[in-house]
Amino acid sequence: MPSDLFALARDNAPRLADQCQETIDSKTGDDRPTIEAFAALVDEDARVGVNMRPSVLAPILGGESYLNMNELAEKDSQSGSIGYEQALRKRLGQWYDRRVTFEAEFERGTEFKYGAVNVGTAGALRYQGVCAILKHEALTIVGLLPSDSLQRYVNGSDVDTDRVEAEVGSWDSRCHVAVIKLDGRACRCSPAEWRRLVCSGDDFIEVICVDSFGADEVSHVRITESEEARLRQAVYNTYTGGDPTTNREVHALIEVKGDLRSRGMTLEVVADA
Amino acid sequence: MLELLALALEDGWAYVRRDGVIQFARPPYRKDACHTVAESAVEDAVTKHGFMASTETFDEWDHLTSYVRQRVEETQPDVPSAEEIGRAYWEVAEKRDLALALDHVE
Repeated sequence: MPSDLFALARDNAPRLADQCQETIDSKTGDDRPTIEAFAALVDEDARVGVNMRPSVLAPILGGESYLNMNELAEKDSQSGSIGYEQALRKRLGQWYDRRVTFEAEFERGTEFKYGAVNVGTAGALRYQGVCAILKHEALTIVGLLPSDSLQRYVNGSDVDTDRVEAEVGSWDSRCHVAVIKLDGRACRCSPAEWRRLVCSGDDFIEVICVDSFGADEVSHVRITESEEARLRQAVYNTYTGGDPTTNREVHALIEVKGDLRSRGMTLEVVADA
Repeated sequence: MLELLALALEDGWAYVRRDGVIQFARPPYRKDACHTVAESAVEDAVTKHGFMASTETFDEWDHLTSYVRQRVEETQPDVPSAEEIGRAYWEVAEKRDLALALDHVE
């Protein structure tokens, strides 16, 4: 019987709050105000970030909705040459069982969309691309997990649901999830590094939502300096003919910039990790 | 042997296993611009970010990139010419882009 991840998150709120308070109370000396400041930063500045390629973001800013893998497979199957299940297997390949196993454990699992808690970076940098930051009010129900759900909870064909139940938090629990996960590291590094501690490289607090979102839900878009420089170089290369495949990405970047401009937004360039 | 693990058909971003090491490759596919990633990054790309899983194998890097380019071309046949793209960029460029371009020319 699938469980409701978002109800679990809501029910878990008092427990996470207690666990967070215990963590804070265990701190002595400078560590206590330090971890309280870290919690306040997450509480105040956290938004949901979704990393994506410019070629994925461009149609979203152009009016389409963001699609998860199940929705993409559904779209593939609409051509009529392939069924939904076959399309999903084709897309996910060797990772089919793990993703399907996880999502089958939860109500509305096939509607899950995945992002990360973001407090001012360009998101999970292992993936590169750009990071769409969603408006605070864009998502009505959210589940937070301390790290990537597949890596943390799925082992073969088993999902560690007890661990999910113990760790999942709602959006209101964002600073509790962050403190429980990161308290030691937050105390050891400088406040200037906290934003990257919450989300960068391979490590992030995963956000799961089911709301549909598109351009109207995007508050701004971030890109790292190095990624922007790579795309800028690709633009310059178009003057000498460029590379046909790279030109597609440049074309997507131009669409992104044009759509952002028409919405009164710019591509926000942030420092690399 | 080179194994194409995952491919984004919209723009040709790819994950490739070479000599047991997984690399993230993007056009124009310069070998020195690829960087090493963990397998979890490929899983993430396929299960969350719209990459298509693949099991294609190749003997040569050039054969792999030709295959990827062909798949992308088939999927996205209608793209403006390089000249049009270069021109269109300046219609959406910001002041910062212009300043950086001038630095680049100098």
